[in-house]
Amino acid sequence: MENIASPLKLIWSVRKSIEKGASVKRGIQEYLNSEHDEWQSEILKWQLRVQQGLPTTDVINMQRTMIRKHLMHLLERGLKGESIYKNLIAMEDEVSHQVEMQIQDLVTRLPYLMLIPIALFFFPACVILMLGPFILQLTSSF
Amino acid sequence: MWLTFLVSYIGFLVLLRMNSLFITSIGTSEKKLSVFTLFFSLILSFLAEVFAFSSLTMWMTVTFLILASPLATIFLKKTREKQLPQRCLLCLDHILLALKAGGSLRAAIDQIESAERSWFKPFLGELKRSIQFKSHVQTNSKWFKSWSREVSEIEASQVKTIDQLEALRRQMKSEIYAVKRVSQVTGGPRFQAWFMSGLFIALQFYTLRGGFEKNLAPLLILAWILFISGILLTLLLMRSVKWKI
Repeated sequence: MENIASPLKLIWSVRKSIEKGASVKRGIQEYLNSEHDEWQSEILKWQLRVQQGLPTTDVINMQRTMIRKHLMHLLERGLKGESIYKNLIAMEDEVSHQVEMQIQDLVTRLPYLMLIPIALFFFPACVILMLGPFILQLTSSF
Repeated sequence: MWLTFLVSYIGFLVLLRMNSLFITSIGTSEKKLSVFTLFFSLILSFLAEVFAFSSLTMWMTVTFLILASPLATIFLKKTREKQLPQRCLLCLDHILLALKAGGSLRAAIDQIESAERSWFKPFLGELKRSIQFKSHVQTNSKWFKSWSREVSEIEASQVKTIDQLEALRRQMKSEIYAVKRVSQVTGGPRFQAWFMSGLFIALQFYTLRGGFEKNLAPLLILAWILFISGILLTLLLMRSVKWKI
C-alpha cells in the first residue's frame, strides 16, 4: 500500500502551488515530477489532452473512482483559468475523510487476513522444526 | 586459539570496513559504529562460549553477522529517512518562531544548525548551502531534496515568507499524519513477518544445536519451503491492499 492516496497527493501539490502564487498547471507538473505514483501516467495522458484542446471525457470516464473523475473535472476548470481554490480545499476534506474511512476498514479487516499465512505456513514450519527431530527419533527407535 | 583470534579479528575489521561504507549515507559517526560493532561481536562471542555452538551453527552465525551488518545499516538509513519529515517539521517550527520574532530565515537555520547535535546536523548544513548558493542538496533522500528546494524557493521569493512557510508546515503535518495512519495499518503485518522470521531462525538454531544430521535434511527443506511460502503470501497480501480512492 502506498503511503498517501494519489488524489490526495495531487490535491496537496496543486494547493501548495496556488498558495505560493503559482498556477494550477505548475502544481500538476510538480505532482508529475514527484516520486513515482500509480496515477501519474493517467494524469499525464489527461493533461496532454487538455493542452492540445482535445476532449477529455473518455480519459476521465476511464478512472476507477468518482473522486478521481471529479478531481480531473475540477483541475480542468482550473487549467482553463477558473478559480478553484475553495473547491480544492473542500475536496481535500472529502478525500481525507474517505482515506480515514478506508484506514478504519483495513484496521479491522487486516488482522484476520494475516492469520492465513500464520495458520497455513508459519505455524506448520515451526512445528516441524520443534517436533520433527523427536518424531524422527521415535520412529527410528521402533 | 591464536588462529581463531586472528580470524575473528580479521572478520571484525572486515565488518568495520563494510560499515564505514554506509556511514556517510546515514549520518552516524564512525566511532559510534565501531563501538556498536565491537559490542555486537562481544555479545556473539559470549553466546558462542555459553551455548557451545557447533561448527555449523558458528558458521551460520558468522554468515548471518556478515549479512546482518550491511543490512542493519540499510535498515538504519531507512529509519532515518522515515524520521526526516518529523525532524524537518521541527526545524520549520523553529524557523517560523525565529521569523515571527523578527529574525531572518538564514540566521534561524544557522542557529538551529549550531544547536543541533544529532545525525540531522549534516542535513541542516546542506539546507544552509542550498539556500546560500542556490544549489541542489547533496543527499540521497529525494524527500529532503524536494523539501529543501521548497524552503529555498520561499526564501528567494521574499514575499509573504511566513504565510508560505505556514502553508508548507500545514501540508507537512497532513502528510506526516497520513503516513502515520497508514503505517499503523501496515505495521502489524510487517511486524508479524519479522517476528515469524526471527522465531523461525531461532528454532533453526535450536534444532541444529547438536550438529547437522543427514536424516534432518528433508524436515529442514520442508520447513524452509513452508516458511518462504508464508513470507511470500504475507507480501502478496500486503501488496493486494491498495487505495480504493
